[in-house]
Amino acid sequence: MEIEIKKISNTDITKINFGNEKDEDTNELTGTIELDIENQIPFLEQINSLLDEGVSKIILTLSQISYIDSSGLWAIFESFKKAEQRNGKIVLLNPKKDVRRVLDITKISSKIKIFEEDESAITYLSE
Amino acid sequence: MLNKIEESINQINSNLFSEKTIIEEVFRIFQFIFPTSSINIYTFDIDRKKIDGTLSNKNLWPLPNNMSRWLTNQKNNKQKPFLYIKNRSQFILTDFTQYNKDTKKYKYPCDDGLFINIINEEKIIFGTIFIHNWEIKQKLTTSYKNINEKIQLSNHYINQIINSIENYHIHKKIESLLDDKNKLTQKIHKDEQSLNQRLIELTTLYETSNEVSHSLNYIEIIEKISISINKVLSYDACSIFLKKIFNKNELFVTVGSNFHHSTIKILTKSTLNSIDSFFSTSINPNNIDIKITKLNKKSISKEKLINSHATIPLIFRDEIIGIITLLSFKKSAFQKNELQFAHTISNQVSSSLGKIKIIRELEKSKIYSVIESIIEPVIILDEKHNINIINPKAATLLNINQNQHITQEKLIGLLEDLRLIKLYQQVIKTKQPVINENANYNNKNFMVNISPVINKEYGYVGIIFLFRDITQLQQMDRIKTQRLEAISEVNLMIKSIQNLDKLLDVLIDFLLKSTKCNMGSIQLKQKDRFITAQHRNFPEKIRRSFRYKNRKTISEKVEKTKKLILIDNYFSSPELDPNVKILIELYLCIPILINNELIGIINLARKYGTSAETFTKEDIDTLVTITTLIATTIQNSMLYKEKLEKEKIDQELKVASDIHNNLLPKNLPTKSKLLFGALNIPAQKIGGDFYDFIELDKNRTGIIIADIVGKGIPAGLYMAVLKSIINRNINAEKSPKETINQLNKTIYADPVINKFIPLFYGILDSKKNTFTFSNAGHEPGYILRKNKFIKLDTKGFPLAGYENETFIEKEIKIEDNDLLFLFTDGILETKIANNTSIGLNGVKSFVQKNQKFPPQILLNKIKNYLTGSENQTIKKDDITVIACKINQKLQYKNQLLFKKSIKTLSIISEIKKIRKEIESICKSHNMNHQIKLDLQLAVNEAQANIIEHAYLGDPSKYIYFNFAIYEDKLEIIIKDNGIPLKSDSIEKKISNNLEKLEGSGLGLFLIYTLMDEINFSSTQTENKLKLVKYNAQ
Repeated sequence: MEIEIKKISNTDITKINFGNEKDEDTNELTGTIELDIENQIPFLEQINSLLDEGVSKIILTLSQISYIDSSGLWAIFESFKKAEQRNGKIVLLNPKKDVRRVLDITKISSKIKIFEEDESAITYLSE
Repeated sequence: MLNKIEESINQINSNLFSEKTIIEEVFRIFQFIFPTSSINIYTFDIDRKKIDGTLSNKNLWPLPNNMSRWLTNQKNNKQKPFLYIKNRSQFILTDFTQYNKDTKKYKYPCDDGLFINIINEEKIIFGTIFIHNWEIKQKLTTSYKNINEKIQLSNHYINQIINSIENYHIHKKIESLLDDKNKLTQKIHKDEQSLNQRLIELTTLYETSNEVSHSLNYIEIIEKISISINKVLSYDACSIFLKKIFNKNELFVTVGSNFHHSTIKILTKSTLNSIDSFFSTSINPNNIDIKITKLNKKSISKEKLINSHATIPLIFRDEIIGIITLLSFKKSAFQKNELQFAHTISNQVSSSLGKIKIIRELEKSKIYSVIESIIEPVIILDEKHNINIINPKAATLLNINQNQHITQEKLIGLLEDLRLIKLYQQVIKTKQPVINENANYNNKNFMVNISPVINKEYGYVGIIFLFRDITQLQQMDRIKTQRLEAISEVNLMIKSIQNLDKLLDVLIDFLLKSTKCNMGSIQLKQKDRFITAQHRNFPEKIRRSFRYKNRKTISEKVEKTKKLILIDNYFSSPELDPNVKILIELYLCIPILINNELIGIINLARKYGTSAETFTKEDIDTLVTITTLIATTIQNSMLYKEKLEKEKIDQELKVASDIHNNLLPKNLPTKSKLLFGALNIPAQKIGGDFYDFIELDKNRTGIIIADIVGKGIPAGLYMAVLKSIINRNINAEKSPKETINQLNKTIYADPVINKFIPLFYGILDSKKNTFTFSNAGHEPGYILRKNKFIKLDTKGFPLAGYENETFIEKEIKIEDNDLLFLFTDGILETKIANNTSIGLNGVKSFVQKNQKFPPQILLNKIKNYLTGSENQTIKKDDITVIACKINQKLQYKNQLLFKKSIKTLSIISEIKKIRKEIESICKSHNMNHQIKLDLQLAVNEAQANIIEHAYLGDPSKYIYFNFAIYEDKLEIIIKDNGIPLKSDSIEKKISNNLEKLEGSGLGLFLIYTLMDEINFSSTQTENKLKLVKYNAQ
């Protein structure tokens, strides 16, 4: 799992992208990952360290996540709770249909805001 | 050369050099300009008009005083940048004495010399440079042909760097000002401190002299003085020696709390040594009483040697009566003004102690007259057994006329009456006092001390009797005993009674008796109100009439303040409402508190005219103690009562619930071509819904569903009656209409059932493929056929409505894949998300969506849907649904199409492997994407749970997977040999409550949601989870 942390210019918002590997030339993340019991710890650690650094507005891009299980959901929800405790916010961006379905079934989608477009996520977080 | 000079100017002006560095640089340049000369630099302290620094390459020429005075004279504005002296003998400022010295020293006339002044625009000279060539015995003009150029160059150079020098001087000036300011601040601070110190001294002196002058206790005075001195002088040890002021020599030593005992000894010894010199007669150290007091403060010093020592004599009327010695480990610890303070205070002490001494002596001489004034009875008998002295108290006590002579006989008779005669004889004999002997006389109790009076000069003088009247004390004791008895009685009472009513009953009687009240009540908190739980002549109506004029009752005030209220005289309290039901004189209201939480209130009232004493403080204390004791017991009893009541209800409910469960069919009928399902969720522990399947014959099944209005125990009872009536009246010969008619008549006449009963009855004939039904006011049934609902209803009033109601019946042909379902109205009202009821349409669409599932699975899904909703409130009504699927091809569907078994290690990385496996199985059997995902996720969660919870992370264990695909379903069985789990513990863990995500809750929730059928079983050696997905292909 590769994690890319990107600060969105002119805002205090940080965007996190995931991918299978990093393209050496374009420096972009490619491929999809499965956010499951194997990946949950590095995922959580990454976000925790961001929160500890004082970053409090985070967009998690889920478009490159092809599969999620209860461990992955738990990790997302833990991060969300932790951010809330620090008066921050975490929103989800552009989940794949399959992941979206699991988010709906477990009602996580009623707790954490999900956006399809970057702009609307940024507008929401900037308010 | 110019370059070098420019460079130097640059250097100096662009750096913050110290003055020394600058002058050295100047020196370097001048050596450079005048290479063969002696160069002497003098810098001036321009404020003090003195030379403060010199620098020279040869022997320094001493700048004459008048020259330096002249140069530093700032009023002289004729100063020039340079001065060339051609002829020293005519230039007085260079000092002729010095001139002679120079000529001798250099063996040369030393006539000329050049002064280059370090001068600024304001003509202030910061220093001067004196240049001569006497060493080489030449005139400067001889050595340097271009002397004027050199002078100009020098002046230019000085001009360029003068700013830096000037700056430096300004800095120095500021620094010295700052320094002055600091010194001033320090001085002020010091002054302040000493002022403070002085203030403390004065305050202490004032306070001490005030205190001391009022005290007659010399030990107290000594203690106070020690502490007062310590406030001002911080000593390490203080000792006060008193020379036989009060019979003996005494030494009071005061030391810091951390003084070691041995150190104290040394201190004492050294103090005693210093005392000796003050007194003409030497003092025997063994004859001194030594008292040691430790101060609260610790001595800071680590020193062991006494470095400071101060001795202050205590002088009273020209006589040294004692000595104060102060010791400190610190060197010169005591300041002069501090000692002044010590002297002042010592004068105070001397006069106080002297005064006390005089008073004591007076006392001694007047002992007899003193005895007369003693409050307690005292008699002194002389050696001849005559009354020597008797004070008025004793005279009154013993009925003796003070002025009358008492004969020995009478006296002895008196002592016999007092039963003291033997003791008296004993004291005479032994000359030892006896103390605290009991005696009584005239109904009074005494403690008597009898002791011999021995005078130094005369020896034995007589016997003194001191009486102490303890009658009252004994009475107090009795009260105390009574109180203890009361408390132990209460203790016994509360230990033996657990029943709350009984406890309150006994308690109120006890309280009334012990307070001599005739009315009273105990209120207990129930929810938010205080309800009278027990009373004597004091119902709420009467109690509430005793209130304040603002209409608040006394009990309400206690409720608010949580403080006891005692009204001694009700009608003399102006703030109380005098319009009462019963006249009372006293009202006592006691809060019952547990940890400051009010659980009840005790009210006690005494009717007007009851002759009883008023309450003493002790009585109230006793009551409060009793109340505190009782509070916990009352609370326990209240809880116990609550528990008992709840247990009773629980028990009743359990019995009724058991009956209800026994009334409903335990098994579903098994018929070929037919699949049945039934769901019953009672609203409370027992419900009023009823359904049954009756096998009428080989092909015909009767289906009955009914809804008894109401719930709980009565509904269950009606159900039992209904079931027996139904059992008696249903038989294979009667059609639904006939059966319902019969049931109506019977129930109408039944003495127990007095309610309408809506009931639906139908007969499913799998041979003729018909369903015949009749409805008595119940919810209609439905058949879902080819995605459309057919309503099954006939007109009719519920059973027991009208005696002669005529019911009708209808018959419908059934087809393959028909889904018949019946339900009571409870389901329709069930709240789902957003607090809306599911309603008929909701039920229909749910059934439609899940019609492919076997009926029981469908009903399980309905159950999950209804009970799994987040805002799950208490269901108002029972939910009952029965379903039946007609499936002609049923027998073929169990055919196994595919089978595969896999075993993996219990490690996390194997989860992915199983996901891939499922992917490939689904692909090869053309299953759709969503089913694949559901299977992957469910199996994933199960596998993770096994690794984590059954094997506790042990990677060496195995997990077994069996995949089986049938015509209508896919079945996955997952087995492990880990820790056995109870299936009900799993049900409890299922949770989609995100806030409480712990352990395996969310995973289990996913499994249960994604799979159609879940079956878990566990033995000692094996856990087995069966997951089924229907119509996967």
